[in-house]
Amino acid sequence: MRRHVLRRCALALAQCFFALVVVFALDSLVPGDTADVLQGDHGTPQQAAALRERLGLDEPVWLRFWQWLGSLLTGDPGRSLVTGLPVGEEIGRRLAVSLVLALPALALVALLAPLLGVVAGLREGSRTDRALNSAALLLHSVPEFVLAMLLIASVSLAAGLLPATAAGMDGAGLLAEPGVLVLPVVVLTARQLCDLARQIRVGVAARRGSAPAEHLRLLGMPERRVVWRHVLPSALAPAVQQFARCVEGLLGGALIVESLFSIQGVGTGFVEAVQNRDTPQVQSYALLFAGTVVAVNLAGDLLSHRLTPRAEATA
Amino acid sequence: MTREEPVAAKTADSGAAGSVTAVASRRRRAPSAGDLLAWLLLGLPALLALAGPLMAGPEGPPPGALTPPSRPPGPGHPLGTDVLDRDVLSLVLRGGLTVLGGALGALLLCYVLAVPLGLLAAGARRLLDETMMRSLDLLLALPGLMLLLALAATGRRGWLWLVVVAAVLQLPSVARLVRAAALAPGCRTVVEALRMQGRGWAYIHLRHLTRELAGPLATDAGTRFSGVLYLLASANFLGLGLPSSAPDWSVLIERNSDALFTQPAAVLVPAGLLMSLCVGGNLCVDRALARRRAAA
Repeated sequence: MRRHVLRRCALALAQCFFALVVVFALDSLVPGDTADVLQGDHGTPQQAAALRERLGLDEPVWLRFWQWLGSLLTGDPGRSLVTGLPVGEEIGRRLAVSLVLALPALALVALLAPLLGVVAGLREGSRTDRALNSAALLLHSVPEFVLAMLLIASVSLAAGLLPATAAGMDGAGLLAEPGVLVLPVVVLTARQLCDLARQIRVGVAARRGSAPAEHLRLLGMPERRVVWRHVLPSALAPAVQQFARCVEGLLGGALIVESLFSIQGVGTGFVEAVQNRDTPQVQSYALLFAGTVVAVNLAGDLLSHRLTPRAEATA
Repeated sequence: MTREEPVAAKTADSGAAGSVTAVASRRRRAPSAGDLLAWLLLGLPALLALAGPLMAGPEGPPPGALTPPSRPPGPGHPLGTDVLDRDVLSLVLRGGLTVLGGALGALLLCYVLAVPLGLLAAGARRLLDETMMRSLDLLLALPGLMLLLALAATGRRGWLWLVVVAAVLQLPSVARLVRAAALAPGCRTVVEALRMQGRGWAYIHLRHLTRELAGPLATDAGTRFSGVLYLLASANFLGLGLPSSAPDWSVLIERNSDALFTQPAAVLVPAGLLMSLCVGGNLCVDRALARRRAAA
């Protein structure tokens, strides 16, 4: 048990380090470096060289990596190349907006997916199950931006019901006008909700028909008790892992949904930083995303392992 | 780790419906209405993607023409024109090839890389095996869109980058699948026997094992297709791959989204085709899996 936890934590640490290396390498191994970007097309090579020296870009790669790592660990990801403001503040402000979008989506997935999955799984093959499963398959298959376009076209433009954009609103503004959030949250939730519900449904259905469940029934245990004491607890462990992966999906979805509805969160921040080739910002956003994915997966795996201590196979 | 789970889950999926309808589907040979719908949803956009470029007319506005962009459907333009005043119909006909080709190319590349890796890990000593699988696990730290965004920030954007990244991101789970299949007890016995007969490494691995692996890999490719398609379409929508003037369905949707109200066809037609491709692909895999489970 402890051995497994240690191994899993070591993997997470290695993943974090790997992400750091990749993010750093992507930037430092390109021919055109930060100095060229800052200088634009107008600067002379001498100016670029001076700037390079000022930014410390002519030092060896490993030394720069070490310095960069040091400044990250002390909580200073640097300043934006475009605005000159500290990156941390900017991300913090945007994070608040993103959470206003992400928390309702996360809550909806955490609440509805198990509900729908269990309902369908326990009635496997029934009309309810088939209807739910078909709807989930349909919604799960559609990319967020396609679903958003269809919803905006029908709900916002044709029926004139909900606003199609949240341009220029901060976190407090969004909270004051929840109507703006409805479409983004629906679009963000739909795909992950359906994915998780389908996986939970499969787990519940498989365990309902499993040999241990059959055995308990033969022993005369009432069905209700079989479900509550055996089927649902044993379907919980994989569901926790799958939920952790959903969070990863929500992160990717947030990128799309935020730029679709022009919500000023971390997703749009990331995309804007990429368009501006604002290296410190891009690196910080990338590490934020990678770190969240590693942390959430670690938590999911450990929790799932705690729920089924004998499943040593899942490393 | 965690990411191979969805494949397993989806493989087990729809066996759900299968166990109930098992008897029915074994007796019935003719495709049901549901099968027909699934194939139609998948086949129509796929056919359009493949044959479309051959049928497409000229897309650009005639040089010197001073017509306003985003015109609604009218004579000469059955689906209207887009924000650059190009003919939407011919754009749509041309735009599927990059969508379908990207997803299939990424899958192909992924299996070309993952099968040897998985086989190597399966046959290697424990230390090498562990090292390989653990290093692949490191890739799980990188979410797909994040990696593509970080690449785009350094100027590395393009269709090829998308395909390569999408393929590399699938490596951990596919290599693990290959390794597990090659290490399956039955498989191992045959390998031992072949080795005793004096067959070489290449014969055993490339002729025998690849044939053994064809089944699991085909299933895996089916479920993986929609995931890759989703990643590539989303990346193209964010402008991380193809140039913004490319006639790609995702790019078209993005470019014309501002004119959604005046010229809905330019957004809704490619959106519908993309949706049909995704849903059809998933439906076909779902039904095929259900049928196999029922037959088993």
